[in-house]
Amino acid sequence: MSNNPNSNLQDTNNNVIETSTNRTTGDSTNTTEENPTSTLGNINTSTLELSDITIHACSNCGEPAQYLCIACGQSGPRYCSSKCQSEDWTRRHSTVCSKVTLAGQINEEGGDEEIATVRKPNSKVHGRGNIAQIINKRKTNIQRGNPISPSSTTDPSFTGQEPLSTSQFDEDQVDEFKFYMQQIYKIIKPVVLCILLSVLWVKISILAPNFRPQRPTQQFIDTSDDTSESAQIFNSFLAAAVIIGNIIIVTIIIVCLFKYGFIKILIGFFMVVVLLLLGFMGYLLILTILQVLQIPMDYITLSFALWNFAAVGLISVFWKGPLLLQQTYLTIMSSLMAFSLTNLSSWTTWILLALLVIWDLVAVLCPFGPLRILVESSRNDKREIPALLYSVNAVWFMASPSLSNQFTSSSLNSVRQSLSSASSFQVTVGEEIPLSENIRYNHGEGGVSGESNENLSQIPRRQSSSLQPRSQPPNNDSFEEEEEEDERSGLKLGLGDFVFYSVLVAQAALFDWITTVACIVAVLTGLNTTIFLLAIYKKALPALPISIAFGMLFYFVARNTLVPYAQSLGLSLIAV
Amino acid sequence: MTLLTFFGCALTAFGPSLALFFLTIAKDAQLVILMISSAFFWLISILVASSIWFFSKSDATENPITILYSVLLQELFRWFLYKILRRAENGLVLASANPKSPYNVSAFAFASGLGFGLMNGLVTYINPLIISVGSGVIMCKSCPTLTLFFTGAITTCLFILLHTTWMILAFEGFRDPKRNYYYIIWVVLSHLGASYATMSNQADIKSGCVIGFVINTVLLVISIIASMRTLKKIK
Repeated sequence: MSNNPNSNLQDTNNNVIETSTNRTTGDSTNTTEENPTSTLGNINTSTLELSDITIHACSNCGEPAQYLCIACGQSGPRYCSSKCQSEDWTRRHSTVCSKVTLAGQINEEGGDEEIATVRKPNSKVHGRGNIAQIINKRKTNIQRGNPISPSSTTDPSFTGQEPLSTSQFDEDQVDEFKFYMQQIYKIIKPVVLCILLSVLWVKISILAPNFRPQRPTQQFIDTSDDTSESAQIFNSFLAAAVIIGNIIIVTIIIVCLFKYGFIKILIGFFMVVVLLLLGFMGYLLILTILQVLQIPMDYITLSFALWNFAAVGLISVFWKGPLLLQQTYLTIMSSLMAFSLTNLSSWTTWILLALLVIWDLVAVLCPFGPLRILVESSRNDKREIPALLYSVNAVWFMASPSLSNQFTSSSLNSVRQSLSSASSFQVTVGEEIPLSENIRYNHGEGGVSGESNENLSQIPRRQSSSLQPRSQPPNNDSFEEEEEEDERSGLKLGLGDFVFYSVLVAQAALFDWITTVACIVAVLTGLNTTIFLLAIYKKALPALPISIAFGMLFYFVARNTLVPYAQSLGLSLIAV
Repeated sequence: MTLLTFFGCALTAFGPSLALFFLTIAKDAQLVILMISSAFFWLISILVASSIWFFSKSDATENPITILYSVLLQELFRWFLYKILRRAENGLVLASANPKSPYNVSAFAFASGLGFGLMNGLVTYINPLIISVGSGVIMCKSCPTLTLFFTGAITTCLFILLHTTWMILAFEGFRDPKRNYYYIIWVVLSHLGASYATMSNQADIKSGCVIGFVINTVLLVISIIASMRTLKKIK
């Protein structure tokens, strides 16, 4: 994550060049040093006063020049524009500029204090948006193998030893990191909740005497029988293939329906699905719980309660309801779906998960993957894909039509995450930095330019298993205007991912608690890794592969080695 | 011994560490992510250790050897974790809630240590804990008046806290191995010592579990004092 290739803007040295004429080098440096948080001193860069400068010829093109290199000052070259300066910088001046050589010396000496004085103003400099500075940052990044560690100001004890080879970060990146961290955190909570609920359902249903035709113990005995083993694996494979086939067909149908504009059919279909899921699976689950806990209850009460449960769920998911209620229903629905899938035999489940990973990769990343086509067609037609929205803080999302096909397991729900932190960040950016052009330039360099992003962020992406990066246009105006459409959602995690994470962990829970814990940690780490990759690559990524691969690996290793190991040590009460 | 034992043991084992988690880490997204990552690292280390155990077909008589390589593997993965965190440190510090604070690195170490410890506690103790819901009771061999569940709970509690302090000390040592090598030595040795001390739980020594508790507590107190000293050194 630290090696974001798109935005490795170096900020060690960005006060080297400044196209300021009405202040001397020392002045400017002092201002920023004394007052590192204030950007007032920088605004003047765009409104230049040229009175007391003798006219020189531009070092690059020869025209009358007023700008000078801030590091070299009066003795340095003159420029007519920042464009010329940047050209000259890349061509010639970067090698001779006095600040660069100075900074290089400082860096070699490793003096903490001097580094601090060089570094201090940097945090704001990118706001000045001088293109030359950006190039400068780039170049110094390449030129100097030993960039000064940004932690030198925060923790001097770190710099004394080895110079850090990781790239440095400017403020945008830092905010991006913070943003992604928040996103991960917000996404982890419902995922963990959903997984825990599924584990709970599984653990309860194991206790039921006659609920499950294929209890894991029986399964185990069956597979140990040599004659039927291969046949059984074949059967499981067949069953998994049938399910996957269903998923693929339904996904393609949905893509076609969306592409040719039958939105209402889609919504109707998903309402039926949600109702069935809440009603029927809820009924099965409640029956099991009642059976296990031996609670007497009559059918009238049960059906009344179930009816209310399903109806409230339908209304709150598809129309409106308190945010917490919507989130709760989405989580419960995912866990119910996962619970229904645990009825498959364990071999079927594992094969199904493996096939799903492949399908997920194909559907999201392939040029002709249906989910990709779906997203692209919605982008081209500027239509919203109806989706079930898991929103964290904004209720108006529910105004847009919603759908989900969790029942067919390529669920189309999106988890909407709030961007409250990021939006406030954008607002402050708009206020602090007058030259938003250049910031946009920075963004463009970073791969997510403001413009392209505006288009992107209007599409509520609905993919069974894709994460989508969102960031906002840095422009304050567009922020206000498009508040309705441009949902500030960060990451979106398909509810299908919720379901299959839960299926995996639930399958692990059928065996042992240790495998359960191992799989939860593996899945969460896989999720984190995927989101970090997302932060790097900034395009829709399938969320299942890494998590499922980790989860399956950990399940089988833990099941075969860790469980007996922990039992052996646990019996002798040895902690390691 | 049913639910009463279950909740008693669960809160004894995980109460202090969960309190630490909710008071310090839960509100900071970054630390939570770090914790999950470090839990993942611990899990890899124990999976490797258990694979070695599995393929060497060890039995209970070879417990000392099992402990040896399990502990060393954990320390190895602690070092790996440190290496990775070190690479990402710039970003982590800048993206933390308070980038100017000199205590950021210590906070990372604390969170990772708690992740290590909690995962350790969960993996080693969750099965006895679940069994404790049932009607049966297993008595501790060296202390016949204590149940195995409760002995395990106290050991788990101590080990989670020990792992937390070990991580802080180890990070301090790894950061400057030339000057602070004694931290690393202390971590490895005290980890080995604490693990071997737990062997007395099921040994034939009279009130051997008390010996284990006392040794672990002393190690914990020393580690806490040492990690507090490292915090004081940061200015």
